[in-house]
Amino acid sequence: METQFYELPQPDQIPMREREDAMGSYLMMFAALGAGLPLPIINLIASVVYYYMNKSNSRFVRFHTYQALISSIPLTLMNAFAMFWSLRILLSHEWSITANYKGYIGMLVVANLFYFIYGIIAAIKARKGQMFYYWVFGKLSYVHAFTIKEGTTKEVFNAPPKL
Amino acid sequence: MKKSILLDVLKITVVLGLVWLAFAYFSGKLNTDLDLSISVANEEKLGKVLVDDVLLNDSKIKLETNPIVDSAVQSITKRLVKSIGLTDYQYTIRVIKSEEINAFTMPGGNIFVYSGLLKFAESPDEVAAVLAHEIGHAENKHVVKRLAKELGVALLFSILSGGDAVVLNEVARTATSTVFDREQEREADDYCMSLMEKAKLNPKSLATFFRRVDEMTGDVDNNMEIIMTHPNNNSRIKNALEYKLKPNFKTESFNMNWQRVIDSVNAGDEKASNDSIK
Repeated sequence: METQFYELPQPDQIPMREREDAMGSYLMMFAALGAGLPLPIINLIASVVYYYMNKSNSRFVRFHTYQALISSIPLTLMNAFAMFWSLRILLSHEWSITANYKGYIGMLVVANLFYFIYGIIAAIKARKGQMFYYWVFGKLSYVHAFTIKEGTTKEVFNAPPKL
Repeated sequence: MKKSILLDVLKITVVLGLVWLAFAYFSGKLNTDLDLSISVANEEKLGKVLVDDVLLNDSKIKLETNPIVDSAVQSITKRLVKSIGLTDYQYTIRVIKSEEINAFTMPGGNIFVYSGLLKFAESPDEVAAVLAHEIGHAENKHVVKRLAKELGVALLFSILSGGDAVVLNEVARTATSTVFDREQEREADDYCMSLMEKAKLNPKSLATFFRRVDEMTGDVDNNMEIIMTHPNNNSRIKNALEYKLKPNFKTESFNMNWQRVIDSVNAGDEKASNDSIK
């Protein structure tokens, strides 16, 4: 059976409070990223907490919070690995600054920069009540938030009066 | 949909991988450019200026002139240099009168070893190991790389055409500080062990020397310069001990009375001390 999706809400259908909640997921991610620099895992924990706080919110908010959460996982792991590598160089006598290390740090700077720019764009779009799809994570988040699960029926409770 | 997501993941991985490779390649290339910018001829000129105009002009630096000591060091050097094969340098080894247990390399194949190190060594093989390590720094151009990195290539070129005394002293000070990074120390150790093997000397002499230096760290004094500037001795000892020798390897000992060399160094020290009392 082909996967069915809920209709996407349009900006005029999304209340300001939901837009701000959706925007908050990206902004909170930056704040946590700054706070979590010495220990990159902190921003991941903050993203998970924020996601569960807003899980029962509308699909629009769920989409954005989920996208903010899962997009931060690979970068957090990469940052954590860089931290581990740097500490090994600093503390161990066996490790040294190699061209590979420099290359990895350079790549990480570029990746973090792109992540930051994408985050800003996504936050602005969310505030406007628009969807913004990250590479890979956008599709995953859309599927997560808008798929109509099997057994769910689109029951209509509110109907207009018979005129 | 799964296929399109997997394709996207693959694309991101490839892009990030390429960015990583590009940064790694260009950071390596920058270093190579730096190394190539100082030719061997210029390095030799630089070495001559620093050694003749600065070090040998310094009243605090006294060279060992005892013929027995000199002959022993030259004999060790000759054996090592013969085994190097093709090299850019004419190696000159000088012994500085000092209680310090240390040795250092200056640009252009100029190596200095302290008489304190000769006294501390239990055999000529141990001195050969230290000298082979210093030759390793010279062959890998570690000193010029460090000078170019810390002071800049432009400054090095400026002293070739006559720099002022302050600049010369600063460059000499940077060159004589024995602080190389771990990678460079490892390269010099690897070179040392390979050269020792070629010279039919036991590479494990490096380990025995460092082990005895390590044993003395309990009562480190100011003369133990070599250990303070050469970190991670344990791993270096381990590497030297684990060095795989060729199956048919046989050592050929030096034909010299090492105790006589040590006595000559001590006699020189006593004479110097008596002279200073007089």
